[in-house]
Amino acid sequence: MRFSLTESQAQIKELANKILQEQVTEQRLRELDGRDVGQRFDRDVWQQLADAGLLGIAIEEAHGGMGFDFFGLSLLLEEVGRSVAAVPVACSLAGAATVIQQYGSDAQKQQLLPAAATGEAVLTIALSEAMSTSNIAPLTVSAAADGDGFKINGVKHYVPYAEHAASIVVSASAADGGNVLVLVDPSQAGVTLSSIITTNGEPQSMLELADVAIAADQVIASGERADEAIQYAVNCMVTAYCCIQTGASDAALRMTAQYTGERKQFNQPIAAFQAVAQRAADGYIDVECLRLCAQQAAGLLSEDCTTLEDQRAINDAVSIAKVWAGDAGHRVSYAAQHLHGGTGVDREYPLWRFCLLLRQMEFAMGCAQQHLNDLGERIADYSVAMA
Amino acid sequence: MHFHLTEKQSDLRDEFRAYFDKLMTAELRAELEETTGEGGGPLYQKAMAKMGNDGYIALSWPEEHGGRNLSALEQYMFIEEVMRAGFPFPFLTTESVGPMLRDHASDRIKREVVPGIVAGTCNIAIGYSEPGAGTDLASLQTRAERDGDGWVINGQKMWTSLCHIADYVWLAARTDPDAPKHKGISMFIVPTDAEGFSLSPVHTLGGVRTNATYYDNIRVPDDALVGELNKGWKLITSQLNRERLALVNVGFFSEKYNTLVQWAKETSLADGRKVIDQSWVRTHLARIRTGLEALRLICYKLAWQMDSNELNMADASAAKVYGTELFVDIYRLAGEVIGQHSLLRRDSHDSNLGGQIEKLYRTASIITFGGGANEVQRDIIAAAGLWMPIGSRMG
Repeated sequence: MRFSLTESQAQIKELANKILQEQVTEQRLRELDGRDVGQRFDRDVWQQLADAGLLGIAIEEAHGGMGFDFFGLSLLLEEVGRSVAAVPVACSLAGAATVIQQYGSDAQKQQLLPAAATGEAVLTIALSEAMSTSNIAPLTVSAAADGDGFKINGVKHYVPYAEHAASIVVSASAADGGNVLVLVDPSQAGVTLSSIITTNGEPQSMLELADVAIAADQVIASGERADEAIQYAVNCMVTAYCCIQTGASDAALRMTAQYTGERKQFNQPIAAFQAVAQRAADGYIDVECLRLCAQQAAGLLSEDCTTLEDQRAINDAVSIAKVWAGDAGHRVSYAAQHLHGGTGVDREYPLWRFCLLLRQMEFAMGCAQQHLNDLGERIADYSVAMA
Repeated sequence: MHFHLTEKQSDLRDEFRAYFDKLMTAELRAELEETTGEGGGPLYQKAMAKMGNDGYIALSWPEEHGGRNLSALEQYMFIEEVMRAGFPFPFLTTESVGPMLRDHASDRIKREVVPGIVAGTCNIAIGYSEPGAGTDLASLQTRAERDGDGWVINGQKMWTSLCHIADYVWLAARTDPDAPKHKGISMFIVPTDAEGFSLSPVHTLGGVRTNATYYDNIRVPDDALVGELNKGWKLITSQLNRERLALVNVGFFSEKYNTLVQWAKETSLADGRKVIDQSWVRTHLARIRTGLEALRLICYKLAWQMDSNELNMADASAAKVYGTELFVDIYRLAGEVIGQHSLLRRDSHDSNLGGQIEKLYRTASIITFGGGANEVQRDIIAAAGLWMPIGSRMG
């Protein structure tokens, strides 16, 4: 047990914090708010993160990265949340790049990872389907064997930054009852992307696949290996959102603490009213619970997972973190809004963006209740006892 | 960051677990149930003496005082195993009062009292609260007045738990009524067989007996004073973080959670399904698991911070608030899983696992205000964790 960052981890966090706090200004965010649907992507900040080497934190040195692990990346993700930066760190690096690095072929890695590390290529991952209750079991999108490869059909939904992506990792169910994980080039024949308008303005698309031909070299994993790869990708994406949620809820809470310390009513700062202080204190506890559970999930995802027991422990840790991301994110968001009063809803004041991000991260990749349900099913199935 | 026990810690846990497996005989368990779990019976006294003999009482103490110099994290693990085993270990005596006596008492007290604590033969009750001094503890009125070369004590204490089996009371008394309230308090060690001492039992909702204690012109020698005159408040508060951590130890429910899951899997409903076949039951179990996991991490982090001298007061208070309110919540969830059998007392005809929940539910009412009321803890969090100006309540 150790609850401190190593020196190099602390440096990463500090660097990410410095760049994002300096660059993601209110002025820049307002400029982004005025853009068309699907264009809320801050390429300048993206490039600065790339130039500092931060996009390559978890990419191996052989492929142009810094060679840290998922935990290192989680530190950047937390800072992304803290700054509400409009950058595709989660889908491109925590989602697509990590699963390609872990399960992809050498050629796929060489083709995609160096460009992901320099920020030149945005990658994304399409795991979610509309009306689905599971992230790991693709139902709507299916793959039929076709020569050495597949033909895929169906609709993926809520795909982050798809219109900016050079390549999309897509999960599909195969005819043999198994699954496949493949790379789709958005310019391929049969691919249609339609922008959707999301609550916090994050660019997302509906992805329609009509007889899209997947060559053998576009297949990341098939058979049992695909199940593993999909589970891994889901765990990485869910954990990434939990880390963003940690940073965003911490920032919203601290903004609230500062505001209530300055705002005076009845001749005193409203923070001096116990009802106000107590609600903020509950937020502190929520953020601490979320942070620890998210860090644990990120830490476990950074370790070699060799046994079935390890895998189960990771799945549980990830679900637990997402339950906290949903519940704590919701509670902190509403407490922050409420304690700010009218100021919190005024778009001249920055809180509203945090609240919309908190809402986005609460529901993306499964809400708290869905993850409780998944965890409950696993408890019934094999139940990892508490040590 | 690293989220696993080291090999040494893992071995230590195995050692503790094996030790308590052996210590907790069926007879001892039966006696503990009869004494509503708080100990004090002959087998409990025997078990304490055995633990003393085996060197298991003052594990966190330095080796020269009979301990093993365990770190805060290792000591946390020890308490986790004690609680998992269900043994009512007097950790306030061994972790809070004992170290204060060891470090600050007179030579006579060090000689007469401290070895008994380590040996498990000496019981000490804590005399802090009074009828008029609870959350605002520093307003306590029990007086100790100079009389020749000793002290005369007068007053009343409340919630003096285990005092009916205690050899001494660790007593907070006002020694300077003119000083600001935090600066006129001193600590004394008072034998319960002193002339002028008496007590009356207080029976609580949870079935646990505690006491009101009375101090009528009790004379104690000068060396019964522990630490410096009028500096008692500092002693009282010096161990608070450790106490708060022990209060919300996850070991208190982790094994019960495992038992509950097993029970839900094995137990049939009237319609033939198993209890766990109901989806809301699975969600309840997941909710309990999710809450406990956060508590586990909070507690380990706090213990780790104590060892690395990075303890943040807000985090200790956050652990206290979160843990105590979580326990109240999960006893309810567990009760719902078991159903109406969670209203049956353990000694009832046809009692099952629900009897434990029935008892836990009743005893849980004290944890949110005991050990520092949660409102005060939240004030501390707002002030020390969020730097909010929280008004004049802390004065």
